[in-house]
Amino acid sequence: MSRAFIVSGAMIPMGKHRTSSYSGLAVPPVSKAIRDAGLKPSEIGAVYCGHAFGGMLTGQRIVKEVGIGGVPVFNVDNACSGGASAVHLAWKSVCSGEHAAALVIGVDKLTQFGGGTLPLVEEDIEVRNGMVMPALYAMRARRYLFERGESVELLAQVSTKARRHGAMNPFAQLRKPVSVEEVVASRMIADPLTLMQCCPTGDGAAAVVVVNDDMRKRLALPTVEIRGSVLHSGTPTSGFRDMLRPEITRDSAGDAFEQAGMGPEDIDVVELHDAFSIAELVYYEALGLCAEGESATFLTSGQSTFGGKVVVNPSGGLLSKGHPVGCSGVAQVVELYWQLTGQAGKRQVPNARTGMTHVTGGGIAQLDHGACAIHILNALDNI
Amino acid sequence: MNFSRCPSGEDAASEGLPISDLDTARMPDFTVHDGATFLICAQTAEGHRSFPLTDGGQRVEVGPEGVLYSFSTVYVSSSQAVPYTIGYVDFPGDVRVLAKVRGALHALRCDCVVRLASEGSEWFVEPVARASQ
Repeated sequence: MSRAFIVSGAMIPMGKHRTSSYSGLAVPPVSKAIRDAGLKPSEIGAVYCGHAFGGMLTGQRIVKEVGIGGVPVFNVDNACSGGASAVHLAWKSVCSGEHAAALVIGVDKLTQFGGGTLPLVEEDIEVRNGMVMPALYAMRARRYLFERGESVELLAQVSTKARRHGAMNPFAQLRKPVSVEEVVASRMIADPLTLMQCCPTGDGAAAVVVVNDDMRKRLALPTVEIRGSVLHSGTPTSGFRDMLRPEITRDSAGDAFEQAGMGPEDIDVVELHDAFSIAELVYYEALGLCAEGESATFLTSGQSTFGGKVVVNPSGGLLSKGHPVGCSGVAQVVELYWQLTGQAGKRQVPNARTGMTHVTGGGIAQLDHGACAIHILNALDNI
Repeated sequence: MNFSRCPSGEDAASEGLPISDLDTARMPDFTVHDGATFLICAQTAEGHRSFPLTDGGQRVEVGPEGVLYSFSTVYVSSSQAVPYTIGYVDFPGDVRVLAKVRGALHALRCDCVVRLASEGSEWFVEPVARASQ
């Protein structure tokens, strides 16, 4: 198996872009990513488009606008992991030698639903019984506070960190710093999670170009290598599940580290799936960034922000940057491409060499999550 | 070719027909005995239980009491009138079920005992008032 590299990435600012179609959202970053890579559209061998709510032929509707046609276009739905699943498939296609250059798109438009919680699949028995995504994470939060003896103010500190980071990111949807008091006092969504502990409704699009070794040598651009790419589905159980130890993330991270020949201690920067405040705390432990039971201290001691052990979500994460579902996995990869090639501006993590992206997807009965995708990216010294 | 049974292409056998898992009238979620509500679950040959009962599983009943693992009152929902409270309940036999929670919500806490109840076609759980809780 050969190697795969990212040579360009682009995204639009996340936000409420009600007057834009799916192609209206995605064409600008797609065009920029291809242009920045120094490629012609005809050199793209395949397109992988992650989305959850775009409808039929979303990828084709986008790439026809930039002159790409005739090549395979794959539309990938894996809920919040759709974009990262598309990256995974592109990585596979390049590593296998099938394509020299693949385009990955992540896009979704949540304003089409007019606000509120994401529409889940009504066929699912838990959804029929009232499950919505904030409630799933709220139950996780309730259990965390119960077992760990912590308070809601701890959860709020995740949001204040996200907003502090997001304030430095011109692509973030929510850029106003907030206090713990404001987070706790904001409108209740699913007890104990308040509005500012939930990712905002928004629209977004991002794109990256993945190439093989010959192509990256020819292009001679700032480059990161995809050292690990792992996609897991959830393991069903009809019985007890420890909501503070999400096995899909733990197992995926373990496989990704093994594939990359690295460990958590090698990671400088992480973009993880903080769709709700509690998620970040749980995933610190599941990804191995801190020991089990130490997530609260890891956060409050500043180990997950600038100047700490590893900077988690320098973009502001899903809580601040925004979470247009199928877009997020690709937007995370773009953020790390910028971080690892020194292009992240005010939010640049100093000397970042290695990073990890992590998304999970979906709320359906009997699974921790439906999908989890993790990528480990490494800056390339010799272009 | 010598087929030991009817070739697959010739017989739309019953095992190949769709499962009517949305037909709640055919497979009710709960039953009531002497005023106590029980959930109707499926049990595999290996003894694993799951809710709800599906085609192919052996029918078993669980309840009426379980332990509330966690819960939340929902104030924003795309599918149901708010507010409402739901929680994961662990029943004996290692069956976890997402349940609507009613009754004295102020008494709820993780690991408290709850009891199944029903009203018309709906089932839910309520906290059990015990001195030890």
